[in-house]
Amino acid sequence: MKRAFLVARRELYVTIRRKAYLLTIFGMPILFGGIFVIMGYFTARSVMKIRPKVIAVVDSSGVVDTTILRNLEEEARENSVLGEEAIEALEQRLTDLNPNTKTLVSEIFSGFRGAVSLLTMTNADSAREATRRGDLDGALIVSGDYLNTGRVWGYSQSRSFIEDDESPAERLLRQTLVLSLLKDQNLDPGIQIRILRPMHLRAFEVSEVGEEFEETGVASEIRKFALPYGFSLLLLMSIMMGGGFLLQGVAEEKENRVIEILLSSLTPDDLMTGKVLGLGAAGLIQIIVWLGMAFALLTFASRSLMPGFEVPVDLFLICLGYFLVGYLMIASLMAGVGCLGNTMKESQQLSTWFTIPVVAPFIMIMVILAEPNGVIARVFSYFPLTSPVTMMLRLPSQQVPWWEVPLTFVILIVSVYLALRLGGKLFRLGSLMYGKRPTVPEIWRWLRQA
Amino acid sequence: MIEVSVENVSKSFGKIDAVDGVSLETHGGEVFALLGPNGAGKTTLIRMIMDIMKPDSGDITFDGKPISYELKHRIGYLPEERGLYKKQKLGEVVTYFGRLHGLEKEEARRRAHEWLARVDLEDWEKKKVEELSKGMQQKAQIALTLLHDPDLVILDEPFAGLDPVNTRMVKDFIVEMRDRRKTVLLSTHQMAQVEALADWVFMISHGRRVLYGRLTDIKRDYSDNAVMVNEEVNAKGLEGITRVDRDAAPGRLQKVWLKEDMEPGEFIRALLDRKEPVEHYELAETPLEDIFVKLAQEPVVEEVAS
Repeated sequence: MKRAFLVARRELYVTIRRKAYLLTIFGMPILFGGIFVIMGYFTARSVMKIRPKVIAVVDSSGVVDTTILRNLEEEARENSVLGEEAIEALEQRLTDLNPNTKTLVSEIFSGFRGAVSLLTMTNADSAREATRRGDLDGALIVSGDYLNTGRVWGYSQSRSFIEDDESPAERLLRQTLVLSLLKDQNLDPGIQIRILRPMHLRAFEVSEVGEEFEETGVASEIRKFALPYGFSLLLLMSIMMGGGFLLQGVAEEKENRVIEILLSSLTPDDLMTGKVLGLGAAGLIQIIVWLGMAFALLTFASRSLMPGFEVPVDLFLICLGYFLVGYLMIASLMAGVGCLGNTMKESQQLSTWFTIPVVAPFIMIMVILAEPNGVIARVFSYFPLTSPVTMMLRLPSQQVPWWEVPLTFVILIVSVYLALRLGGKLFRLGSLMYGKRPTVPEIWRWLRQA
Repeated sequence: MIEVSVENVSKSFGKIDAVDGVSLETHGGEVFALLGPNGAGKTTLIRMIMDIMKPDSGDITFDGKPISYELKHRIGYLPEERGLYKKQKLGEVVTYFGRLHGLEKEEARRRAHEWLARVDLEDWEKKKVEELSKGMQQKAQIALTLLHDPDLVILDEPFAGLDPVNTRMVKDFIVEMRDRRKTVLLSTHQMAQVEALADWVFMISHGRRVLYGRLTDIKRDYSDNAVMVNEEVNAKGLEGITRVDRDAAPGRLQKVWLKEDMEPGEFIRALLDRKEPVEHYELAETPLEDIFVKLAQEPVVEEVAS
């Protein structure tokens, strides 16, 4: 054991000074942080840069109230980035203050994205002609018999711009018409709001666990996508990196024959134990750094940007647990196959038997996220190689029965034991085997003989 | 000093008998040469002695005891296949192997420094191994083999890739070890080195022992009844000679084969009686290389000498 410890110390010492390790441990957060910052920057820039679409409104019916139209347009511009919470607050304010039309409409366009500038014109023909020449982006002409027919003509160079239900101009005019019609009816503002926005849906999910869960906006997005993606990616990368270094180390020692000197002063078990422990320590440092950064980021974000979002401390601890068992299992197998090949390349080819299942949950990510308790998600959770990553994809949904966590840990711990024995056997057999790479049936025969 | 005893050891890989019923015993304070053509089973035998591989049958003991960790720390092993951690600094690598051989940290560091100086690599201690030339890496490996002052040294092809200066240095190490009553097991294809260093010779071919004994005894057993004389001598027509061959002898010498009942002393007397210009006269020894080639080419593997 003392010798295994010596080996472990060297592995850790050499690994933490490797460029690839340092680059990954610090580069990953910088890379991801960078991607978010750049994406945010370009999104913000593109939003700001869009020239407001200029649409002419020609009212032949006399229904449209131009004041309402102006107000709406202004509000639309001001409130274009408000979220769901802001709507609720506004709604409350409206009922409290018995508001006038201007504040009333602000609700309608909260959440509205994209800018539009409406221009009132009197001559339908000249508006059409201006659109055709490209001076205007479009024209909306309210027919003279609007009150009877509800007919509105839309003109633009790209049809979808006007036809699309969500097009800002179309919405603006629609709401203007509603408000103009309601203007003289002396309706209670509350009813006016309901006419404009007949329902405000709040969705609840009733899960198997019996827990009601409801979240909206950014916090929900984080829980549904960012957390599963983040946790499973960190876990996957840490496991694969540790396993990869191990495979590389073993294959390298075999390729440059250092293994012969090593085995003349220690047993294969000492050597393998030392390597697994040393690289495990390096992997642990890595995932702790990453989880720590993610934790700090989420804590900061939940305080300043996303009130109401609770940082799931338990998930961080569980992720660490899955790393330990997942790494031990993969590392043992990697050590075993690492010394079966003659060169790094051969060993890496053999290792795909294990690496593909480990990555598989990530490939099936959409299926697992859509149905965290579906058949695929569950089968993947109970199969040892896919279990850790799958569980970290499922757990953030908060719909997984609690007992699945201890169950998968039991499965994984048993698998670690089996993997250690299998890997150890392969390691003893393969460490001095040179020549042709063994085929799978040959490996199987050795294992039965050993 | 550790005496290694190999008794009737066999090892097969599938259908191939790599080592087949081999026995040998070393003698402390003597250099034991392990010979054999490529693929004869030498490396397998050494790996079994080093406990890297287990024999299928037979016993290997060290001073009568089976191998143990404590024993392994008293053994220095230079494998035929060389390799070191390329990305690490030379001093660190040598120290690490010293520690694996049971030395404490400071001691390992001190000896690594000392031994790197002995093999003229002190300037390279802080450099990465990959920056060293092949010959330098070879010297570094010899240093880490001897670092922990082992009582038994197993050197597999220690001269490969070394220039004459460094070959001389390694030879001096071997002689020094022998003089300090250490057991040296030397495996090499360089027959000149074996003739210069070895006390005992062991040869393996097709997994079997084909030659085993003291070098001097073996050479006597394998010599023909022949002498070397300078080429000016005319031996033709003398009683008791079978053949004269100028090409069989080095330099300006000729080799004269004598009949079995002819003593070399009688032959020179006869030459002198004929007033032949004898300036050089010696008993012809069969070079070890010839013995090696003869045994390696023999398809039948049976022990010839002991």
